[in-house]
Amino acid sequence: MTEQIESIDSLRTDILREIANIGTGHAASALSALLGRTIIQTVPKVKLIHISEMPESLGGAEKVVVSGMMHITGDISGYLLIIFDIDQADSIISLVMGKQPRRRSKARSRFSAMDKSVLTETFNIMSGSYLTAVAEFTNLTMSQSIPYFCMDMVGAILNTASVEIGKSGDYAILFNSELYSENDCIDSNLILLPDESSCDKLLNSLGII
Amino acid sequence: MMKVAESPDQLYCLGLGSCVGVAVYDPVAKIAGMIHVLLPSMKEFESAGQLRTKFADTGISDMVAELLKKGAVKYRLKAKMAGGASMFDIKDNSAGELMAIGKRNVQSCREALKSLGIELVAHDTGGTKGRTIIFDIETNLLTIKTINKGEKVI
Repeated sequence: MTEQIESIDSLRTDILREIANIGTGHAASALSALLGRTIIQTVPKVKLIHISEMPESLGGAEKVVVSGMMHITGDISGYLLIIFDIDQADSIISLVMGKQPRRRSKARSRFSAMDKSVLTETFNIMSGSYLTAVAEFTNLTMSQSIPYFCMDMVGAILNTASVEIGKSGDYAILFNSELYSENDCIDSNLILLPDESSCDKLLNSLGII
Repeated sequence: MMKVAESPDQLYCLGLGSCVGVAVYDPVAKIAGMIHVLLPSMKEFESAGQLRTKFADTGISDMVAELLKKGAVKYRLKAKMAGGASMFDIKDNSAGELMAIGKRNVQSCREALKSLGIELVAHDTGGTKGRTIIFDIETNLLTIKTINKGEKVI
């Protein structure tokens, strides 16, 4: 094993947290507008983690989750993943559609086409808000693909996405934040997987290196 | 990520997406190894310091060397593998490479096994679903778990 242990210093963490904060703020206001109700967010937690540790920090490799993956191109390239628990995904669907959450007799039953569409749109709004925040902060331009939907084991989703960056970098930036709406709490995990040169570019444009 | 063990142990890979889990075993000596392959070939990466066990070609040959060191006999070695799914529902080409990575991993694992003269006894590859696999060294059976589909034993 010739891997280096890399850490992220407090200044970088602060800046990344600030970006995440603005991004989540944008996402919260976009969702507020969409849902017609107030959405409050918590300050995001930011972690730099090795790609092999990601499944553990998200509840174990076999946990079934819903995710959207966006391919980022432009000055910064890489992938952005947004991950929700099945329960969270259900609350989002019921919030957006304005109906009671369906009772799932089988917790792992499939989502309907409409459900998928609602979730995909939520991924789209969240990633768009987030990337706009990063772009404004750094003066870098980037564009995102449409979200690719997937419901499966978290480990399988993550290792598929991390394969792409596994070629160059071994680390990902994990942002965890909670969005509250009246009685509902949506716990969202947003994972930015920049390729190695983009990671430097990002930090460089923030005047860190 | 690679591990070699002896009966009565079981070897497993949790949550395989486009990655491939390959089990190579000696049914007589009851010794086996399992590797979690992320990428097809180390040849594409010239930079030093890459983990050899991430790749199909270098990882499988390292694992076989380790098995032989632990007392396995080369001509008795057999293999089973699973994984290499296309997880995301991708309709355009902007992320085309991501779609193909599972297939390339499977292909590369097959080639690596062939070049080492190891017979691939059974496999469950491709598709769109993630897998968890467990290899029982005593029975040489590979159990594959998939969400919504239950278990399959090869």
